[in-house]
Amino acid sequence: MYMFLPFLTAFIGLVLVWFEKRLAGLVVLAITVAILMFWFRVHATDHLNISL
Amino acid sequence: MIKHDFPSLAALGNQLALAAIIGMLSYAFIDQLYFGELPCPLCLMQRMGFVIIGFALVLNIRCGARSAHYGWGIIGGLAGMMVSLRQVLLHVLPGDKGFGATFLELHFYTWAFVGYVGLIAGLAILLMLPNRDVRSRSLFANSLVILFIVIVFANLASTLLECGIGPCADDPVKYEGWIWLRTRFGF
Repeated sequence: MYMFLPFLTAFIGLVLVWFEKRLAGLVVLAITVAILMFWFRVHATDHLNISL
Repeated sequence: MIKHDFPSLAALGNQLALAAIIGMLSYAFIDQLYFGELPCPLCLMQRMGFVIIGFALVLNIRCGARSAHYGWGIIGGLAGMMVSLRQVLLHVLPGDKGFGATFLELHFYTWAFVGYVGLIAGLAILLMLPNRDVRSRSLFANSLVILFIVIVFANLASTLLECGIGPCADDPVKYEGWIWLRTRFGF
């Protein structure tokens, strides 16, 4: 798993928002949330070997 | 005419909430760098939850308050809350010493849960306030946003140095990415 990915997307999104690219920022924010949720699901079900 | 830094309660609330998130993420770095406690994968996810809420607040401060921004902040808060509650439940059994150090007698993941509850409640209250004048270019607002962007970049660099591009160890004790870099480039 690429655990740095959501931080990378958040950083890119924040730079976009600094330059007032609101819609692009919102899209990148949605991608960041999706990565976090996917990451948690993988970690919880496979890595920690617990069932959610 | 005097130009106020906080022309509305909503502007004040957004900037104070962002300041609180910057404070929390900074303290996490103090614990990591000064006390040498590396963040576990679940801890990184909790940091990410705070980053998402902060992102929503930055959207409000830079582009003006919209319910869509608050909505994403609440979703980020719920995701982070889910992760922190998961970690609380992992260590909730009597006799379990918990993971990592404590702060004011509570573990960091428990504080993270409390933080998410507070921030989600705060976002709900901000949603009820009039949306006017949240967009701000004051020195204070700009400093907060720049500081937040720097902290997110620091988290990106720290995660890369800790885990490299692979999965993080469950109980990390060394910077594996940094060690990989040193052996790869011989310095």
